[in-house]
Amino acid sequence: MDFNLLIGAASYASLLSLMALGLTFTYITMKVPNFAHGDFVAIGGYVAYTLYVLDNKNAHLFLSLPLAFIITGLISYAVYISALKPLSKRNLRIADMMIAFLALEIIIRSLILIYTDVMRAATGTYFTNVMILDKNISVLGYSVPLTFISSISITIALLASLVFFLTKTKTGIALRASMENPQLASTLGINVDKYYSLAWFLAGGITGLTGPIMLSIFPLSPGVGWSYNVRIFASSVLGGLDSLSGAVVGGLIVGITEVIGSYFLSKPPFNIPSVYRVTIPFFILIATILLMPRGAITTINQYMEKRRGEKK
Amino acid sequence: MMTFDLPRFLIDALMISCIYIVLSTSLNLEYGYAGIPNIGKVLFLATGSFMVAALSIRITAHLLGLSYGDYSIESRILVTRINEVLDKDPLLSISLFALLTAIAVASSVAMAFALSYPTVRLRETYLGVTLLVAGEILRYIGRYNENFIGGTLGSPVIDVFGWMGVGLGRDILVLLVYLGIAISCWLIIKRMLSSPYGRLLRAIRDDEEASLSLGKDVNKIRVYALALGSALAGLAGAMYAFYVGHIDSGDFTPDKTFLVFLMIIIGGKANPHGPLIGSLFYVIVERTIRQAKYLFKAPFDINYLAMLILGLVLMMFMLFRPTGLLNERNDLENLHRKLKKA
Repeated sequence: MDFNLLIGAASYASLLSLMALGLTFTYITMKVPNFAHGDFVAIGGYVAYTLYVLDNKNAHLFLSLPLAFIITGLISYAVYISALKPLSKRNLRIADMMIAFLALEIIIRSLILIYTDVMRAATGTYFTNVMILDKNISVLGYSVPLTFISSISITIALLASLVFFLTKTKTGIALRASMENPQLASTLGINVDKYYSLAWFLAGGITGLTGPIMLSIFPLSPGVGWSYNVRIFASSVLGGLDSLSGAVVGGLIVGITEVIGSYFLSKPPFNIPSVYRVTIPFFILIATILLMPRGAITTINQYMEKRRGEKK
Repeated sequence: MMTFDLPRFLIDALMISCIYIVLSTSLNLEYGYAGIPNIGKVLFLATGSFMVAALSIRITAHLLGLSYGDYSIESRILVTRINEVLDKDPLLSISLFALLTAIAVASSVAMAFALSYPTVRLRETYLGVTLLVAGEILRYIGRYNENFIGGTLGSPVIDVFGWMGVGLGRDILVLLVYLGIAISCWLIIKRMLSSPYGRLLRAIRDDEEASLSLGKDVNKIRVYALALGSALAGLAGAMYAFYVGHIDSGDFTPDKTFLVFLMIIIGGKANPHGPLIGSLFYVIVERTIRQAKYLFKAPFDINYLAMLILGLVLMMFMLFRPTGLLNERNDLENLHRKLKKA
């Protein structure tokens, strides 16, 4: 196993954990998985790629990241305000909400497709199946890809600030309260609607942030959302669907297993081509549902509590 | 510019409607009546189509004693040779059609059992996510495995209607066969759903606990409803494969699932006539857009705009009229109306 593989696995897994974290925010508020979540990654990616093309192919990673955060966050916020808030007031069944999310995914993806077609006609450059080449920078004498540095540092910084925000600031505590128990929160005078829209903004932003970095890992196409959805859902189910810390851990496990697993499976004795790597998250998903449907984190917590109880 | 051929256009639209009627009838059973959000509908359609595409040439080549090397390359040559034989052999064509359709239906049902068994006991979110993800995985395998259905090139399907001749006469005959299948499926399901079975499905949809307290095995009923729906979806997949004559895994995206849901929601959930109206509505809209594409120019593909509009239409229906155009026909209400008349 070589150094590059580990680096690739680490940066991929940390980005996946951010995407799963975003999905969990939206899942807790709506109780339905957001099928358009993978498209948020594509939106973030296209924000960065548009900047890249408009500025004569100079990659401005540090300029495109905040922009991707804000634009994707605003789109996600607009989606919540315009469609999901009125829908959730209608007391639809979960099955019906899933259909609405399916429609939402179609709307967002069609808009991305139209955008890329228009931009290709306007700029004369390809907008589908694009990548931005990764640069290497030297750290302490080692040549390290920029993707690795940026993904790891952004994940750590974002998680640290989220933990601070959710546990120490008043807004963050109110947000957590309205996500965990909306009825109780509203009796205490918290405007739950306002915090739900904040949750959607954050969810979109965090997910959109991964798009620009993903541009140097996977080729970006307008229809790329579904291949991300497979991985995000697997991570999120592994983490327990409604646990924020579980989503981060789930994303890390799924990402690392996918990269390292596909590496080992492509070697003899298996010789499975690495294009099938997307099946690894699928098997993790099925195994989680069969063995511990409430997610790995919840199951481990329950086990620990049981043991603690036995000791007493 | 293509010349517009009206009879051909109508026949094509009706053929596609037949396939969608079978597909949306199955979804109406699962989602409208039993309340199962089968957002992996395309998985079962794809299972049917892929089985026909993968096996039609292989089985016929085996029967006729033709040998071949690399499937993805030689399937195109094989299919012309096979079709020449089948054109003169109606009996073989019909039995192949029946056999392959049976295989498609059986594998679709097997898929439904395998995937619903672990997930049906959990929240419906898990079932939905599993089916959806499984559909995507099947599409990936179809796309990247060249020995399955020819990878990105796709795989041709044998022509089992070749013996009916050529031209308009053949098209009308094939259309009659498809109409027969679609209408009999629709009638059987309609009959089933207006029997106590339909009431049972609606009961588990509306109140799971109450049905449990009456001694109904809710999970088992759900699995069987899903299996029945998947049998129809597999049949629709086989019909699609035989009609189009070429299967490419790229057609089986989650968009297909969305379209079938669109038909059900527009037509009306849990109304036996919903699938008919929904399918016809969609096919008319889709074909009109296809023709309108030649009329005006835009800097983007009109199909994307069409999908955008269809997505907005479904969203509007969910927001303002979640029951669809036709309301759910309630047995009690019907009885009441009948008594009033009498």
